[in-house]
Amino acid sequence: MGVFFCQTKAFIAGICAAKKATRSPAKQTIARRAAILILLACSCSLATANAPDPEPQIIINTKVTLPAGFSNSALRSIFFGRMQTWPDGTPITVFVLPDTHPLHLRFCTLYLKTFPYVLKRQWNHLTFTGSGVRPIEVGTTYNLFERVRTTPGAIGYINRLPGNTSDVKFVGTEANSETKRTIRF
Amino acid sequence: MKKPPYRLALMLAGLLSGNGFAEQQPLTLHGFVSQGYLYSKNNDIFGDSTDGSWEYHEAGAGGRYRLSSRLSFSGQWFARDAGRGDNGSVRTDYLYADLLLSQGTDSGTGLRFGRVRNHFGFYNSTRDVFFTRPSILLPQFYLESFGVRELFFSSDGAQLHSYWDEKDYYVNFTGTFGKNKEVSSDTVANILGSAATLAGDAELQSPISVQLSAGLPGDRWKTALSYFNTALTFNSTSVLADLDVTLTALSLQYNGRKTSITAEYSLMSINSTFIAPAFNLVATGNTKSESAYLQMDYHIDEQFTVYGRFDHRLGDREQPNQTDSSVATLGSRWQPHPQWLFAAEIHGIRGTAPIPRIDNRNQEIAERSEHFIFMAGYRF
Repeated sequence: MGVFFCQTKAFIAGICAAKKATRSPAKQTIARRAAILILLACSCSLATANAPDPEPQIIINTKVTLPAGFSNSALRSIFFGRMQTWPDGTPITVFVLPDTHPLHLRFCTLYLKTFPYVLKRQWNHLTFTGSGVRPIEVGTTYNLFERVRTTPGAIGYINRLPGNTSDVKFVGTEANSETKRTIRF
Repeated sequence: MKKPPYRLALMLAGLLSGNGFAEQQPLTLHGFVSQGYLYSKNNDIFGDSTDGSWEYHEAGAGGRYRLSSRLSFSGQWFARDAGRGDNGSVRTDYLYADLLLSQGTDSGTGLRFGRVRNHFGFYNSTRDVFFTRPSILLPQFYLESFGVRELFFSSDGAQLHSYWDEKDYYVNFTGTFGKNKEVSSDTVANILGSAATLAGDAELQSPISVQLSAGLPGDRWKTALSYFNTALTFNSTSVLADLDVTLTALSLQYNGRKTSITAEYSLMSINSTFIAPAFNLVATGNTKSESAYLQMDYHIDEQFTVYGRFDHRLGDREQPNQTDSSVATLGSRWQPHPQWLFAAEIHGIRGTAPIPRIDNRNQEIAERSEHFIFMAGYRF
């Protein structure tokens, strides 16, 4: 509802600016440019509003030996900070996107059945009781991919590849059939 | 007004701000500092707040060192100035070794030794940190104004902790067994008032704290049952006294997309025994007090939250009309950056129990009062 309201307002502003451009010849150029910019912003916003939710793809460093029976509950144990080492003893390093990133919100609701503020509350609890370490926040999916790829024991998520139906993808410095595929950010 | 004791923390904060902690580092550090401003009507709280008080600040720094995949060490040091109740001296919040006994894909068990935090309700184990509290001031459930913080907060002993993560639910268990601890005469005066008959040192005996919590995946709903028991023995020259204190609490929380609702209830039972050999007098008694609150948070977006809370306490179940107190709270939190937090809240108070006696030593406590509190915090 809010998105629709903003789009309508922007569209009306664009039309008004275009009308003003015809009334005052001295300000025609500036007003015309403003109108184009506003209408462009409006169409971009419409495109964003119609875009489907991003689909997260869990990525894990290739050096990790995933335990047998790895499931959503184990994934929740990791992201809620209860499970902190892989079965071979390697510490788990968790990478996440900022709270405001749409992919982070989607990952929280789809895989963890939670919301970013609940997760943040749990990480604060871990940090200030000394019982764990909060995940490392990175700004973009590209950086997140790079950090998981180069960090032993790392786990994170990026945009899902088209046609990829596997929930977990291994990424690492060693090239293999999985990592050769193009990653879309 | 005292000089803030957290210059070191600020320096560390400056050095370590941002995403300063690289992955795979065995040592991680954390810290926080917060400063409050209080203005109140009728009663003082944390300094001379009826004239406006800045005497409310907290600072802490700590770290965690992972020696191996099974053994880690954690510690935190903390200073708090809150009017006359806390003087800003640095103390050890917790300092323990954590040994992981077993871990599978869905469960794990560990044992901690040292000074460990008592898990009681949802917030006791992180009650000192502005970033983890549900509001600037805690509800009466957490006994903030009774001076028992030092006794209730942590125990020196062993703590068993365990978790099970199933497909449709999870369960956590924490059991703490503490050893006897000396309680300073300052703390006794803080609890009982400086003019009390039982002035002097005391001993806290065998504190036990147990919490069983469970929830749906992702904490959509979560609940906790908490239990705390200890005996407080006073060694006054004229009177021997023993207080056996038991606290039981039930906590419940719902977390939706925009709304969180939290409710907690606690029952405190105190069995008291007084012996005055000079008068050949033995007296026993039992007092039960209850407290409960209901808080609703509305998350406008990822940075801004507004909340309201109603908080009620019966100091003595046998005399509800003489001992009850209520606090209504309205507040908002704004976190423009993960490291910065600002909050403001107003409290309407009826009753004298939520008012720290130590801040109103020279005046009668008024039945009704209002507070306005603002706090700014930084963490790294």
